[in-house]
Amino acid sequence: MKGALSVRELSLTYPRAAAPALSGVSLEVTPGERVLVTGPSGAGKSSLALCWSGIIPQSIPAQVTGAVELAGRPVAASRVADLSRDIAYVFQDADSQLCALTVEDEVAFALENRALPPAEIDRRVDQALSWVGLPAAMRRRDTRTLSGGEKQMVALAAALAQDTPLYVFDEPTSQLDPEATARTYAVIDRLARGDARRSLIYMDHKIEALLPLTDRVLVLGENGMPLAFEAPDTLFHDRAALVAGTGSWLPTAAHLYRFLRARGLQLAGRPLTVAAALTNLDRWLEQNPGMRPDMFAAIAAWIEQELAPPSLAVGKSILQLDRACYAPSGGPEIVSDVSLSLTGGEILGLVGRNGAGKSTLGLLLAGLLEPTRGARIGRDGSAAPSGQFVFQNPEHQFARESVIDELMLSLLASRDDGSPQEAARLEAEKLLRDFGLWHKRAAHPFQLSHGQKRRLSVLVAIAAPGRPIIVFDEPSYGLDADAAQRLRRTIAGMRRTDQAVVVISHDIDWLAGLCDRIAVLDRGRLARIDSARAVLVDRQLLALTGLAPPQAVVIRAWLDARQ
Amino acid sequence: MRDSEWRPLHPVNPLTKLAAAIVLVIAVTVVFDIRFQAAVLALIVVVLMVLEGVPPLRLALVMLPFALMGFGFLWTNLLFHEAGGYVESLGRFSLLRGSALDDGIVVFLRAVNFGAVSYAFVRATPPADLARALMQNAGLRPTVAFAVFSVVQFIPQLQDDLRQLHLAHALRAATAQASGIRSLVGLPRRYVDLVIPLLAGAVRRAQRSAISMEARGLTHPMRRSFLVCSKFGRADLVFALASSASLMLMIGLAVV
Repeated sequence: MKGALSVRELSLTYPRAAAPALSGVSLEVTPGERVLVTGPSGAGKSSLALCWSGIIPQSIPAQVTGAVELAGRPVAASRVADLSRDIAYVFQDADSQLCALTVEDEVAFALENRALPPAEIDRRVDQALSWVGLPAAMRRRDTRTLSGGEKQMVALAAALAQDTPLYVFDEPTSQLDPEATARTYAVIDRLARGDARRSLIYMDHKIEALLPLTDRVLVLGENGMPLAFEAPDTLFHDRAALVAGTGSWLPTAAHLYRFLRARGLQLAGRPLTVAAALTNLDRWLEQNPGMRPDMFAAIAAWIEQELAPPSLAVGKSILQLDRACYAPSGGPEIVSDVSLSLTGGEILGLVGRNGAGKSTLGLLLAGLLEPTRGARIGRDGSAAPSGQFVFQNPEHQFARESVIDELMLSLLASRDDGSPQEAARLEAEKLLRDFGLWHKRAAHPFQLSHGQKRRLSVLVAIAAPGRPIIVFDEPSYGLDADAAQRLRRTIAGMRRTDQAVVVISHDIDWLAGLCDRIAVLDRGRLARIDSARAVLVDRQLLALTGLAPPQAVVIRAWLDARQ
Repeated sequence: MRDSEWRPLHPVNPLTKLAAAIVLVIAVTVVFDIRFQAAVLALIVVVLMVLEGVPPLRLALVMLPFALMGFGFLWTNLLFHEAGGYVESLGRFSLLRGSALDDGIVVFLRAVNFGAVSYAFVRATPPADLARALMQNAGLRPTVAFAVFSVVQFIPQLQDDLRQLHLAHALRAATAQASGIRSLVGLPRRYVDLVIPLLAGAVRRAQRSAISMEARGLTHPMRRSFLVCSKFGRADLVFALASSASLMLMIGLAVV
């Protein structure tokens, strides 16, 4: 039988690169098989995907050895355009995928390139739009007027219209809010169930929703070294240490089971979702009633590890927004009537849909924007202090030619005591070692990997002159599990009674382990601001902003119901 | 939504409209006559308000920059008319010299008409239709057309990036001042600091966009079909006849 994809001993090195991006990767994907490719940032997942259609090395030069066959045809002997009939991609950045000016032209693009008859294209455009839940009335809509979620739906429709035997999803949800993410997963789920012979490959850091559909998982390690290629249940349970060791993400259910097994609890089964894990645990408790206290204590310990403890550091009020509004010149109001206060020692999470005004509110809190109405006031009515802001794109913050100079800029500014430059340099060297950037000290900040850029941007903000407010905008975006975890520890370590930290994020599970309070923003207005514990169990409120409760909160509710 | 409105100029092939606009711009440039210029303006205003449904206030706002520029010409002409040569320098092909005010008004109307004709074309021609017509009827390479579209898609993102960069660099500049590093706040340096990240982002986006298009089969040379065929039909004939007749009539006004 002709395989959907066959990769044998594939190695890849980019020009002028010191190390290979892929090192001897082999995989066979049969028709109808669903494969997840995972691994830490920079493990070569996207490079591997681009080799399947010949884009690497035909369009992106690289030294490639090994063999790739797509639908039984050697990729090296075919043109990329011809291979596009057998493989369709959905990439992470919907903005860069769209190339036509209207929705229908975008969805029709690949079909026009194949010179299909207009009537057939028209039929497929209608069908694809209805698959992703976009109304036919949107066909003539200008693609520039779409929201981020709508753009990704159009990109999905454009891929679905191609009707290829193999689909590749390269982190398709990484830039979406949870609601748009759920819609994307639902479409992929439907695609997977719709045709038993269609093969799907998804590459992502975190793709729990699709695990029940996944047949096998390929784990890539450093330099694109293949570490495992097997069924998800055995991989994430029996070889959890290997996956965790690469810095890759473990499903919550496997993470919980690993924790419980490490405490000596003999658990059978290999659940991949939290729902399956809890059903399994109920059955286990029925069979082992004497072990209930041990099991409950162990689960409580896991929850404690995952959810942030209530803040112990209570400082004085640092800043107050009083009915603050912000509207850009000539534009509609983005933030409306927001009143909140920041207290020293607290970490405040800021959540909401894409476009809810989170970043704008963050900029107001940091003092980089002034409210167009309302007030931003300091303690006891004094002038409001300015803050630091760590931008979503770390490159925006870089202003020097080397990593160490970038850090020195902040450190010299923070030393108003006239201490010598040498002392600042010593401190910079120490910080770079602590943050794992020492070996990159002479590199230009733009030459770092995304994870390294993120670490440097955080470091630069931390080292800058004492500002009592520091705002992080989507700091965990694009980071693998290990890097995200380390960043969370760094931010948690910033609790000081004279400093307030604000963290904007879509990743509710990541925030749950960090924040004391959470503010929920809905269309520019503050829907609620309360303790993280109170907000995270308010399903109605979370649903309003397209969020679901964190997995740890779901498990805590299960535990509370049984104790 | 405008799609449901009556837009009688939309079925006309964009290339027919483009040809008519070019001919009209040439006529506006060549025919130095107050009646002709006024008639062209009246015609375009009627087309925009009646056929395209543009509200009068919006039309006035769009025309304002052209009117201001035209007013500049009018004023200059009034001041320097006696010295001669100014109107000729703006392109008057008639040997007859009118009064300072007449010549000035013609130059004023001509500036407004350039704007009005351009706006009417843009208003009556969705960019996607123009691009489709250029690819199907004028031999524009799809690889070039879609590369241009991608750039159009980037513009709002670049604007957003620039806004973020200004804020980030304001923050860093404040840090630099506090650190005593002066070069960072120098003007040329500030532009370099803005341009490098903007370019880095744009290059990455361009590469992603090229990958996405190539992965969907865009190449050169290629045989391509089109979902919407851009044809020349009855609407083009009617439009071409009506445009030619109007132009003749307006030129006639100038000659009589």
